[in-house]
Amino acid sequence: MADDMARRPLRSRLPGHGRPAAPAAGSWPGGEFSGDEPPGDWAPARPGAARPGGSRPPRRASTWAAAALAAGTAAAAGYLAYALAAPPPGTGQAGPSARSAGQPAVTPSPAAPSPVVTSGGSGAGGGERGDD
Amino acid sequence: MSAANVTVRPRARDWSRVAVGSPDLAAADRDALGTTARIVTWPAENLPGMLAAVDAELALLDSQASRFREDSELSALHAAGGGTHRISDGLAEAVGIALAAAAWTGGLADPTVGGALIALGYDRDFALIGGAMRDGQALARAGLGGAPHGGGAPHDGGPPGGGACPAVAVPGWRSVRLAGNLLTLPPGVRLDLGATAKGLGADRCARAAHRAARHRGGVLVSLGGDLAVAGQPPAGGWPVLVADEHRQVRAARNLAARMAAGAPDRRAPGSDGRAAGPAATQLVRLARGALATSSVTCRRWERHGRQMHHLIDPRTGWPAAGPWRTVSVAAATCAQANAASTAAIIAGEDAVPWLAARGLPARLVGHDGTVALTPGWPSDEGGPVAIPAGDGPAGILLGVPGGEAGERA
Repeated sequence: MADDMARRPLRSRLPGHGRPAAPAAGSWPGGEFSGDEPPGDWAPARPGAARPGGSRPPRRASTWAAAALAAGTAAAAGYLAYALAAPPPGTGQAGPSARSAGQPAVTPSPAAPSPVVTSGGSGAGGGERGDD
Repeated sequence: MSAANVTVRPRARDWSRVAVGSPDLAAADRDALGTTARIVTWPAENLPGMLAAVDAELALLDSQASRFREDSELSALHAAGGGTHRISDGLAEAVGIALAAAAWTGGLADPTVGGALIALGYDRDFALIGGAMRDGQALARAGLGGAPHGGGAPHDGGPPGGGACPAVAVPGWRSVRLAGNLLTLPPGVRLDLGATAKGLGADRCARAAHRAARHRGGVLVSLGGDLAVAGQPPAGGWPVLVADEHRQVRAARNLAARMAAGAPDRRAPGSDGRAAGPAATQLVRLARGALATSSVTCRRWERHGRQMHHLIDPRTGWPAAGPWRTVSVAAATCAQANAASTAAIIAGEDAVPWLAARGLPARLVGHDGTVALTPGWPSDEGGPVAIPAGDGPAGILLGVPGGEAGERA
């Protein structure tokens, strides 16, 4: 154990170490602030007030996220519009969005590989059953 | 006679399910109108609801327009003799379409050939006709005694090739008048609606079946090979096997059943209904409209030692003697296709230009086995039939009496 501790890299203090901890949500640090400026440089900026370091990185990240969200939504809407308007594969029939209101749903036609009926003049007692 | 007297008797509803080679389709057969009715539909769950609708249409048509049922409205009309009678809406439609077809075909598909058919022996349901008819027997049954009826003269030329028995002149469709539901028949005139009624029945049944399925999917209704479709067809169209002579029909039916069971199409010349030569069966696809086939190779009987058939040339009173033995025609409605295929058999040499001029796709098979096609009929196996987009004669296409029947009004 002692060897392990000895092999750990040396720790260095981060900038701001030793300052007061960040305030809990809804409370101001110090508890006795009464002026226009909050104590310390971590206090929230007032609207319109310039920050010394410019825009915060999280704000820039939100802008990119919003842009990506907008682009994704547009792409999804475009795909859905295409998918609903396109005919079902192999049918040549219009899709559901192409039919008028009140018409029955159009479903893809099945294949009929073999003859379903014979047309050859009607025989007595059975054109299909073939009683000569 | 009153239309209110017409009742629809319940008929035997013995539908039999048949396999048509796809689990997505369902089909059923039953005997009807002296032949076989078939329904094919998709999705398969449509079928049960359609059977009752088609049953009702078939029963109604049979009770109205059959000349073989003594209790039909048409038989009652004949029994009442000449004069003016009020008829039901359904029979008025059937007669109106028959008159429209007569006008459209220049009188070749004439509904007043009933007397001539009876005189030649076709006086009952064909299944009940014996192989031979004794001389004079048919005329006696018709109550004609060999005399001309309807004011016409006896046809003494005999059947093609000579013959001794007299024929009965056909009075002609212009002797019949239909004004609304009032039908006027000259004394002795017997109507035979065979050139259009079966097609009309297929049209009615297809519409009724599609309605019963709430216009979902598609349906094909065949009455003895005269078929009409409604709704959305299967991919590529309904596959229909067009046959020539009746033996091919039977063999083709067997072939279709085997193919439905998964066997490959191994038709070879001279086998399985595919005759050697160009008159072999042909598979076509029908996406809409209707298709009807008329043939002199079926519904034949013998009289005076001669073979008779049921397609009467109204110009002679004898069975048609043209060069075509089978004609298949596609049209917007089955009534129209049926009238055209009948007229083409009777028209003889003029049939091909007559059909082509009307834009009707057709396949004509000659007695020598040669095949002629009109534009719109596919030349390749499995090709689509191009149903004409334009409206045909309004009376036939719309099923509205009086469309082109000049003798109405």
